[in-house]
Amino acid sequence: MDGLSFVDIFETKGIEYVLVLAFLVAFMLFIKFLNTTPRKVAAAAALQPHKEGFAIANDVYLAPGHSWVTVGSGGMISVGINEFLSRLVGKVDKVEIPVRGAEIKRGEPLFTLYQSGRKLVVPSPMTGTVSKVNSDLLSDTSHLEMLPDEWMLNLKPTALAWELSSLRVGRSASSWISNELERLRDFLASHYGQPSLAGETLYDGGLTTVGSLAQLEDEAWACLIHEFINPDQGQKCNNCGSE
Amino acid sequence: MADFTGTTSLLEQRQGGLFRFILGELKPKGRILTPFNLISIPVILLGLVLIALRFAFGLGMATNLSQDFPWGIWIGFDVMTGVALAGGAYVLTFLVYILGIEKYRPIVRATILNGLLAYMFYAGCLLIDCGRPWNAFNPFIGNSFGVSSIMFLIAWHFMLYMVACLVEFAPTIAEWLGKERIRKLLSAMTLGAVIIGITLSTLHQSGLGALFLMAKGKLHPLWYTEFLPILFFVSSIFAGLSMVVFEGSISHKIFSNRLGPEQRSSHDGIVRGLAKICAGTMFVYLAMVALVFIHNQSWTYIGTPMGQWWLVEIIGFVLIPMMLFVRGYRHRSTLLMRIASAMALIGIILNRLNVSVIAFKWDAPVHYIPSWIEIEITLAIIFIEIWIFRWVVNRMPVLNNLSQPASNPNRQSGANNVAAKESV
Repeated sequence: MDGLSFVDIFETKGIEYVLVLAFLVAFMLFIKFLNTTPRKVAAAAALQPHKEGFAIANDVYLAPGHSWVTVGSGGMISVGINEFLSRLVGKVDKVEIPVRGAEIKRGEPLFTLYQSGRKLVVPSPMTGTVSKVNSDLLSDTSHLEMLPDEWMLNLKPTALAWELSSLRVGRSASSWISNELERLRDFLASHYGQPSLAGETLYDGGLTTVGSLAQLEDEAWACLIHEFINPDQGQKCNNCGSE
Repeated sequence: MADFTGTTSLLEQRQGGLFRFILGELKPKGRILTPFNLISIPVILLGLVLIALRFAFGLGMATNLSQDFPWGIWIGFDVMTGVALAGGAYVLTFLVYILGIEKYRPIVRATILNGLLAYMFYAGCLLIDCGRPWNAFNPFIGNSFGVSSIMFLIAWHFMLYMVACLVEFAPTIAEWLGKERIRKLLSAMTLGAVIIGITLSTLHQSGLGALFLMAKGKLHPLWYTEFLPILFFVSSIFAGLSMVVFEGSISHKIFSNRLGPEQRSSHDGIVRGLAKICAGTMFVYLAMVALVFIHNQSWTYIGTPMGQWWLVEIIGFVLIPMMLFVRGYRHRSTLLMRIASAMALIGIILNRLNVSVIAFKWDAPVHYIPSWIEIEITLAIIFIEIWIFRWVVNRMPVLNNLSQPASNPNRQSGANNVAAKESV
């Protein structure tokens, strides 16, 4: 019986095979790493103000009630409210978020914001089960000055693809938010004679003035909420041209 | 002359004909005495004089080239590097016209223009570098084709690719002139030109690397490999896209008045998308370099000065920019991605100069160092290209192909037609 013989890994090109296999594995891991966005970055980018309005990241979906959705690994979604609404509301007294395990249907109340005795309900953009709540948001009272650009809860969606298709993303989201800004300006100007509440630079697609909502009378407030945030809440405007 | 509605051209009615329109466009727009002009005009004038002298008195008076070093920076920088940096045109046209990724459409015309000018000027340097430039036409006219030489492939590819780029860009020129029927005809040819252009690019980008396959023994082993053609091709992808990011960032500021709101808002998203492709391609490139390094057992050279220089190129200007691209992409930092693109460009310049000049006969007792005339002519050619790029962008619908300025309603309608048509 012959003794053990060593195989020259270079002569047999074995090292090249090992390297190519290692490359394939490494490349998959590299692409996976490249495609994951740090949660903080995703949340901040979703609502980052831009000198020409709101910069909407490509992977952020916007819902009609001005909540946003990002899809994370495993199909889990993060939800928050966008800066349009955050700036419009300004300082809040209290925020209510569903508890973990709660089952929410699309359009049902998701976040409830309390402000000067008024209650603003933001509808859920998706159907699913609450899997995680941003406890920092609930424990830190500093956010009451203005709601931060952060995720508020995670949902395990039940009909992700179907419901995502009804949300706005990319260019569609950018143009929609621009239209919303324009609509808000017209709304405040034509119905209440207070275009300044919309923000000084809004004609150029700028940002809303912080806390505009709190300055409105009850009727105007209810009308604005009905028009822009939650059609199930507030009331139709008597003098609203879009009705 | 037909206009967009099939009647007499408004352009002709208003401005007294095409000839007068072009004459009017030749006049400078904006200030002449800008810092860039004050620097570039003397360099260009001196460069033109030196080019004339080089053709009058030969290569000897202008260059430090010799029998030992027949290729200097006119080949190493202008041709080898310039062509790699122009690679963005074929990658971007592939993304937009073949894969249909509309996100990159706002920058596709500027990139094609950049590619066309780069090939015209940098490849034009070949004529300056040829000892007997009157023989340069032989491969085209059949006077000894020289089909066994890679130079034959490169000569024909350069020429055909310039024609392909011109066809791709021609609809923009027709649109500028208000020739809608011609624009339609040329637009119909775009896809064919794009396919031919991509095919040609993959071959001549790798062909430039293949030129050095016959230099085994002359090129340092850390750079010499049978895989040079593949490495040149793969690196041209991220080189071209880095150039698009870098040049686009500058254009975005300089030509901001030519951009519509949509182009402005889409800029960061485009940069991010390109950064992702760059990062992926650089990862593949590094893996190939590692494979070649280990296959050739080249670690024995790492301790030498050339080995350390090789590490500077690979780690400093490929690995680090790749990591910056990854970080910039994940953290949505446009600044980081711009820095990465600038570093990647330096890396490509280093690589091409290493292969063609620095590591070529690295052990020769007297090494080639470019003369000041070679550097001056190179600078002049770069400045001329920038001047022409600026002239074209300021007049033709290159950056603002989706939203024309309202100064000329005739041309605006044409641009909108195109936008509507191209978005289908």
